[in-house]
Amino acid sequence: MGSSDAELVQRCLQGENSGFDELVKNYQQQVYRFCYHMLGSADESADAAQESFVNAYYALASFRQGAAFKPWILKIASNACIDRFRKRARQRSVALEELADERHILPSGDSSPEDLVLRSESDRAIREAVLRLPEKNRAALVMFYFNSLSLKEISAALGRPINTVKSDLRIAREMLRRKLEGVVST
Amino acid sequence: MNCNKAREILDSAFNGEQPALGREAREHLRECNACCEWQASMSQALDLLKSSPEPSAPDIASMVMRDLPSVHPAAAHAQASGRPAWRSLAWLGACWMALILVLVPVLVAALQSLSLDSILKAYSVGKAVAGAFGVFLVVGRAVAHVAGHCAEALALAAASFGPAIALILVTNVVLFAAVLFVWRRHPGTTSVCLI
Repeated sequence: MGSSDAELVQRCLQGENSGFDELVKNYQQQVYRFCYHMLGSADESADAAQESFVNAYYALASFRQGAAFKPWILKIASNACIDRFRKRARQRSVALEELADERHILPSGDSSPEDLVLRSESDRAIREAVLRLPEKNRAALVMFYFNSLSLKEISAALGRPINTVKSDLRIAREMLRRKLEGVVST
Repeated sequence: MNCNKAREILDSAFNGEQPALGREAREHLRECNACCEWQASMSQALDLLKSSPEPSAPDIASMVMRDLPSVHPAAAHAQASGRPAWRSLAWLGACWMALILVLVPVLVAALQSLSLDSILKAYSVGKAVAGAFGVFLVVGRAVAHVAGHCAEALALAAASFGPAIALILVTNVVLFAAVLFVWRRHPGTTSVCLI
């Protein structure tokens, strides 16, 4: 049986980096998934995920014993994504076509070429719809649907009251529904 | 029930806050086409969202571990600045010994005067000073470490408390012996309460 997150954190704080290595392996998919849906670009998401774990390593002493590691690391990832949004705003806006990088998407179980075409079109539409959501709403939506965080955990991760999170989610869902209306009806 | 209220209920259901819609909401959905369509299109959009493919993460662990120092800074700091427990206790013992050295001359002076009252006075003053010093040592060390690690602070306080009690007992035994000495020389003096 593997060690708990708290044990891995303690091991790392006592000088055993293998504890942190195990933590990264356990959560890299979750963090990358969050960054990917927030940022849209595979390369930028890998960089943001890497940066999140490095920041988490140096902030590990502030990790509260008994707290859940996933919301904590996603909070750090969310901050890393916000930094990148600011950087982007200072440089230039990234075209969504450029962001729609398909290299790291795993193929689904669909088999026929027609299905694959339809699938990839709807996937692209979903990704674009998510990427067009305002940042706060997008973060709440991604944490809820792609990282399976509870409302309470999202509230802690984003530092927003739970009712604000509910409102963020409601707005995000409504915007998504409107954007996907055409895709859903085909 | 109006549409706004119905959608509020549907929304909390989408949040997983309520597993089943109430009777009123279900009735509203049967009667209101707009809400019924809204619920259907929302469900379809969310199904599509949930079925979107999973991005596969590259090997982030090896990229991260490459950039990190071989030992976490907190562990490195503890190794560099942490004193072994015996050194803390030795320091504590030295303080207590110094205190006893202060008490002994007072005791000797009291014995020289051969007055039981003066010995008792010296004893009670010494005990008060020793007690205050012990409390200061235990509480002070705990407070000093509170900003660091609570468990470590408690362990240090406990480590300080043990020898402190032991030394108070030793001091009491010495003073008891002194009082007995005077008592033998002046059997007529009144009884003594030591502790």
